[in-house]
Amino acid sequence: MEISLKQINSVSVISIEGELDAKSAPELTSFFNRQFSEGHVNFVADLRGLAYSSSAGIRFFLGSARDARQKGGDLRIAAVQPQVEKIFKLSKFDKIVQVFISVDEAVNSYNQ
Amino acid sequence: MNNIILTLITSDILTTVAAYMSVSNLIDALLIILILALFYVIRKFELNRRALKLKAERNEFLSGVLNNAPLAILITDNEGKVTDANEVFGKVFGYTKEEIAGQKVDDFLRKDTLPGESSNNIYSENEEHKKIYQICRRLTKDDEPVDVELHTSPNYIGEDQLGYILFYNDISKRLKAESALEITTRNYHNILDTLEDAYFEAGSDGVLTYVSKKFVEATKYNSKEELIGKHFRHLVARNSVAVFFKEFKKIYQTNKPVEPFDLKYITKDGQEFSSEIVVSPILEDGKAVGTRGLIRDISERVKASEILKQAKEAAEQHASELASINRVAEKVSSSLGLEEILSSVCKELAAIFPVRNAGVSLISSDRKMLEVLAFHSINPNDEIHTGKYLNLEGNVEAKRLLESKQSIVVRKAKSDPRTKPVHDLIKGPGKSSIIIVPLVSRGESIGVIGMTAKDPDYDFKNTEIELAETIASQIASSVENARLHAKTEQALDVAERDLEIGRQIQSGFFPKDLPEIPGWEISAFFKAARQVSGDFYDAFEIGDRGFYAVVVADVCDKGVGAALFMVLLRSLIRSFSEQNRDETDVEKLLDYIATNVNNYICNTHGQSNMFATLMLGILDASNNNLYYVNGGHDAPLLVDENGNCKTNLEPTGPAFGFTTELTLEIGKVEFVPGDMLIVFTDGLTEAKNSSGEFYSEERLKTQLMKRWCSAFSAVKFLEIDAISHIGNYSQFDDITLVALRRNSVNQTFCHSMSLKAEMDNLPSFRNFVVEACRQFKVNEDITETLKLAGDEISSNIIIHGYKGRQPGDINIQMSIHQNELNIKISDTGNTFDPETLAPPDLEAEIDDRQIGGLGVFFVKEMVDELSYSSVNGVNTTCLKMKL
Repeated sequence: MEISLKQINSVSVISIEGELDAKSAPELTSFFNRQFSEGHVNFVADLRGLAYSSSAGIRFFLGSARDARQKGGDLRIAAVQPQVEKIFKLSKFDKIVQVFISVDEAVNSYNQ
Repeated sequence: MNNIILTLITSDILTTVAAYMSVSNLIDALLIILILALFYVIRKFELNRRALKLKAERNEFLSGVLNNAPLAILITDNEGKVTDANEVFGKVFGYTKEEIAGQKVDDFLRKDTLPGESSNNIYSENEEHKKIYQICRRLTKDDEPVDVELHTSPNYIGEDQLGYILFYNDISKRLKAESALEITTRNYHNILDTLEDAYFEAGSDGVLTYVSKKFVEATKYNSKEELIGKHFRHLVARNSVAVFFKEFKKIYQTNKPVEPFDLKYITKDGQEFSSEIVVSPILEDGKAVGTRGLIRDISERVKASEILKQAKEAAEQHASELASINRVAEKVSSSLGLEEILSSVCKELAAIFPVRNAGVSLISSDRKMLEVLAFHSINPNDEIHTGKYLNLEGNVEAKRLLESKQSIVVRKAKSDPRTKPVHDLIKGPGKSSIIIVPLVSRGESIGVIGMTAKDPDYDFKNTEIELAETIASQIASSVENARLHAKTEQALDVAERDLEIGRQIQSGFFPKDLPEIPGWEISAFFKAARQVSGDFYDAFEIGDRGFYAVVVADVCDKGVGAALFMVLLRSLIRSFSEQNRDETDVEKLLDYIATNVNNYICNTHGQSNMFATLMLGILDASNNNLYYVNGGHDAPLLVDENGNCKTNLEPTGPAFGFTTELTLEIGKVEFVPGDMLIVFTDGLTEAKNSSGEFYSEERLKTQLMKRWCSAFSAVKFLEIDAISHIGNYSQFDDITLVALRRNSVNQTFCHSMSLKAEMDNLPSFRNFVVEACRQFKVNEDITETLKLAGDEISSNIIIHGYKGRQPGDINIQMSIHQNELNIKISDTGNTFDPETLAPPDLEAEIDDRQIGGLGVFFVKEMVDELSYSSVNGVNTTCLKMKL
């Protein structure tokens, strides 16, 4: 898994590429925590390049969305690929986070 | 003639009898028996008559043999008593025929007192009446030992044994000659062991047949035995392999020695060293049947370093001078900007020696000029000569001086012909004393250091000359390095482009699907190195007679050239196979393909000096035999059901593209159920880890010692093992591995893998499940489901199963049974029954959502069946998917 970060205005876009599992999810969590502790609260998870995620990925998204919301921000999901979409639906995770087709839409959603 | 008619009649009668048997008439039956009895009597009579005739013929034949054969012959009766002997017997053993007639052979023809030798001449226990052959020593009448080959043959006529015929072939002389030859060879090899140089002999296939002691030391192997039988190529560093093949090919083409050439070697512990090699052919009837040679430089290098050491010791007397050498050495090795180095070296030289100036000049590539690359004078007002060209053309004396590679001091430099090129540069009145020290690299003068003494009458001391030479050798090597570096830099851009093209070519040519052979399995693994190096494998069916080709090759070069050559080789093999697809004789087919491919490469591409080691096998599935030619390729391993190595398929000929002259022999190996052939390239066994250790054939053999349930399982395991061996070290060469396995009858066919229950292994578990699904050809949906399911269960075992204890293994086993794909995941950790876990509340709001239990929920939702058991400390989660 590879993580990269892009700051668009007040929104931190975290791109996650490759495969997200029980080994890589903790790395992602600590990456998120570092941003979070620096005061960033508005996040977009860019999942264009995320081909696979296990339940560990859902736990990460769940935990970080909860943390962000508690500080008045949010974690929104963009460009979900088929396998990830499948487990989002199965866990009804898509009911509790906002999922967007593209990164732009997810970023712009913070301006409205 | 009589016999034939009789046989015909008899068979006719028997047919008639058979027909009559169905008739249940008693009289008829009696009549038939009567006729039969009559025929029996006639036949017996006829047989006796024949026997007598045969005996007479036989005796005639025997006496003919007895009198004309060059061997000593005895004929005995069934009790071993002599009935006849020939003249030669008398000559060899000293007995007359009359003396021994009627005597038992074993009584008079005694053995010598050699231990463990039988004294029997006749083997009465020879129940199967086979001929007996032995080499033994017998005593003559005068008790003189004679070494003989003894053949004992029972003497038959028809079914009656008349006795024995004993042939004694006197081989004393031959044995003596052989032992003399052996002693000569041994002495010769003893002498070779005393050589300072490393000596070797190799067969036409490139396999070492003899190495000297120095050779063993230089290559850092443990013993001669370890090296003998190894292919020479394994001692040659990767980037020298092409040169190696080129030069050796020349030897076989010309049957003459080649000019000494430089080669880079690789020692057993992975260190490289280069040195000059001299190779000449071993001739038989004027044709090269092997090679012998010396790796010469080893001793010279030792000598050179010895001289250097002595010079340094001498220099140690002058502490300041030593410091200067160190300063020079530091400068030389600090950076690679050649002119920069040389100009600071000149400064140092002017400081160390009692000179006015010092210059370094290099010979131009056409050897017509000397270019002054650096110059320093202690007088800032002196003219700087840097960048000037000194003409050597026509200056015979100066040229000779350069070629002599000797340092000299020229006392009257202004008028001396040897220093003519610099006459213009030497200004000022009076005499001038110059010291000239050649720069020698790889045995050739590449330039000079020149220094003009402050005092025109100064005579340089020997210690000073030695010191200058020591410095000169350091400069020469730095010049060489700088030149190499420049070449590399230039080549790098080209190489980088090469690389991309090569990689593209290579990747397009691996078979997408390996053939499915009933009762067999083929599995393959390929990992490209950063550099393209031309490994490839292929497997395909030929015709429709159950012939399957399995190919693994390693092109001895890198870059685009290697990739193209690989493609050519692959296409040649495929097209020659297709051309002859109707051939029914598998050996002929193999010979046709191998010979044509090799000839094509040699004849059409002989000039490009491309070679490939090639293992080309054709499996005949109808008789479970693999026929193969191994052209200088690493010997594939055949392992049994338990992974123990049964045999190595050693090379049957040299690398492909080497020569059309040598015949490629065909090897054959039979597979019993469970047998598996592992074909690999040296990228696997020579894969290095960060400590420079090879993966090695030993490790391969050890790791194979497992009870495999499929070829895929073995390939997958070795893949993971090799990659973990390499670790972060960059992989230098392509790794190719192909396994061909005949399905076992004792084990259910399944794909299985065990790995430690560690987070780092999670991707490997997933990857295994996905690839095993592809092996079983299940659809992408099921594959994706099982990938996730396997991942979730393995993660739980790692996190919970081995919580607070040393992680054990997780084993994943996949099989297909009655249209169901089964996965069994086992561990020896804490029991954790996923069935008992409460499902997560998916309707809860984000703040109330539970973190755990989601993985098991996914698995339950997605697979068709989930069960769990824990027996004797082994927990097994079983998943089933309907296909």
